[in-house]
Amino acid sequence: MEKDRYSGGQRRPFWQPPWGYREGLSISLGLLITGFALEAATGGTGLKSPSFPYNLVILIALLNVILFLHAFFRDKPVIRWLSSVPASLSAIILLTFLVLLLGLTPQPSIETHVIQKHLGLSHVVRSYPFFLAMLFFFLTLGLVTLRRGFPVKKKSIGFLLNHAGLWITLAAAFGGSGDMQRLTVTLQEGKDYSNNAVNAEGEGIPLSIAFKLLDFSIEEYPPKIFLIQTSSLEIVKQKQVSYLESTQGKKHTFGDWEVQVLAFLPSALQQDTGFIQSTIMGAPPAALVEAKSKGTATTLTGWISSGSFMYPPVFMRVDEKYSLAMAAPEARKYSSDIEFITREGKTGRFLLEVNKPEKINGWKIYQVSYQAKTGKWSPESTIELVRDPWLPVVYTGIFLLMAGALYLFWIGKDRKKSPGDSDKKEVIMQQMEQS
Amino acid sequence: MNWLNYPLVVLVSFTLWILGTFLLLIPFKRKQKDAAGLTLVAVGILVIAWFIIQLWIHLDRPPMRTLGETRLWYGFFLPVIGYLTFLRWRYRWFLALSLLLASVFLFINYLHPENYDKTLMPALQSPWFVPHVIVYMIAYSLLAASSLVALKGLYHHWKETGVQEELSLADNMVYIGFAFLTLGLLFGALWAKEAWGHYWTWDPKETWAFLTWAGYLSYIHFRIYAPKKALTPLLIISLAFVILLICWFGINYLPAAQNSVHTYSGS
Repeated sequence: MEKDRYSGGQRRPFWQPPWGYREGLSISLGLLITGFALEAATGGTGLKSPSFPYNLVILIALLNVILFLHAFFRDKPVIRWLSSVPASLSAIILLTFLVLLLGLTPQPSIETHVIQKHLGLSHVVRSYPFFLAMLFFFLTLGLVTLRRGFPVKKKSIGFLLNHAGLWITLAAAFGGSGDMQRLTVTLQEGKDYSNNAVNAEGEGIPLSIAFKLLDFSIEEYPPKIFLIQTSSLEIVKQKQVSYLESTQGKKHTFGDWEVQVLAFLPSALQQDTGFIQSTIMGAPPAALVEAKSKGTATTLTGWISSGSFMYPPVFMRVDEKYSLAMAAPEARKYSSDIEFITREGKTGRFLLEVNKPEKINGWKIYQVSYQAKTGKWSPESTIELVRDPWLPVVYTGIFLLMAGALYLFWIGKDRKKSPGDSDKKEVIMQQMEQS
Repeated sequence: MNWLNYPLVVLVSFTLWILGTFLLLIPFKRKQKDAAGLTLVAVGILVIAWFIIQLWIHLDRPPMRTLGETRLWYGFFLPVIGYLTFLRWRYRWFLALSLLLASVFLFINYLHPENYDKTLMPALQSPWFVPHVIVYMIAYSLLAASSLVALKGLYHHWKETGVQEELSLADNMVYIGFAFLTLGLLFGALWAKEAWGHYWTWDPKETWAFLTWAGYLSYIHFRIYAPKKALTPLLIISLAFVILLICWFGINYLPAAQNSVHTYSGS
């Protein structure tokens, strides 16, 4: 072996095969600099993810290049090195470095400095350096998968699941991102069918499905009652639990005060005598509370209310410094009752909730938001339509990775104890290099 | 409304753990004392488990929403890992260190008493919530365990007394921890698809979760290629654990993470 010539304490010259970490990290650095230069030369615009059929063509070409290199040049030192651990680690380090930049800079930041933009730091995942890092990563991961994973042996199953799974997941996720469509539709209660969707750039896009919002509703948690500092409206923190739930009969101790909810109305209006139940729009929740002071033996009773977009909140002063106040209720669940009709004339009705998307005509439909200001009286509901034709491929990769993780969990250790022949050779080579 | 007495729980567990560790560490009449020591440690762990169950019942939701709640799980899983490692490999120092680290995290919760809150935002109401968090906390505990091993390894390296034993123990922990880390990441991706329409959006937590994953990935690869090297893998573990901690806690303070869905509201 050529390498043996240098194993007698003499250091292998730089770029003299077989390559190791020095060459790998140099390649990573070279790719990084090239990427930044390309990014700056193109004015920091980044790359646009290609869409069908270009992305498919590019992926097939990449796969063919890898297969071709493996089939015909697998014994060449460079290709041998590309499927070695130093090359893999160099690719991992380059990718990790770029993701680290991504993790340290807000994306997209509101104020982007010109240098930041021209280096691609305001859009790392669409930048040239990231693209080059991914290519290097795909190349090394692909080559090592072919070299070590095939022909499939029982011993190499875990390896294959993890490496092929990662390649497939990343290839489909990055390659397919250009085909992903995310559109939002804002529906109004009482309005007729709408098929006006909007994309991330704010452009209107007509859909082949029209939606009609029959009803939007929110289920709320009982609003929380807090002790606040009257002047600053700041909540006074208590031990363990700072709030009293607005449910009839519930009690809580706030410092010196023992407070009980005597009555709770989820939707009420203030009259001269106190709050009475009401169903009109904007009627806020209200509670009749009783506060007993342990120290002074005083008992106070009064109504408090969170208020709403139409009515002001109502506090109850307990002394010169503190008041009891009710916070705006928090949503437990919100849902839209929606009717739809497709261009082909298919009709239907569904209830859309967070975490429970609906599938219609190849679109996955999500409950996104509602009008925050009006809360449970929101007359509108925003839904999102997502189409991601590559998802089955991404999921295939993810399930391979999951199987690989389970394999690592059960058998991982043993595999490491008895490395395959090629591993052994690699280890010996490495030891020779170190010695 | 003191329905749960956390300080008492911590006091009982710590006392049991200190007594148990003491019995396990003093080197005579090992046989009888080991059984007693292990029992004490186990009861201490069960007390924490009992507290978590009570909290779950009282909150009427999985206690996995706030940072403090995740620390509780850590304070449970880490001793369990220490215990199992002792049963399997008889490492006394490791059980002691894992109990110590768990105690630190439980003590943070004692110093910063939680303000419990029953509400759970709709996005968290998913069948993925519990498996995602549990799998992650097991991974984090195992990887913390590997850092303890690395710490001992670094000490031995400094003393020049050989670290192969530590490295092979660290390997075991990182392999299993990495498996859980991968599963947690993928569970998160599958959940995100159901809740937000996309499996990966480079949200700051996702970005740092990827970095954590890449850190341990580097360790595994480095070890395969250069099993004789001692210092570098120990340093990789240490660095990866720092990234893990940034991912777990630091996210709340990073400017890049102002809008993360994972910034825990510690109301």
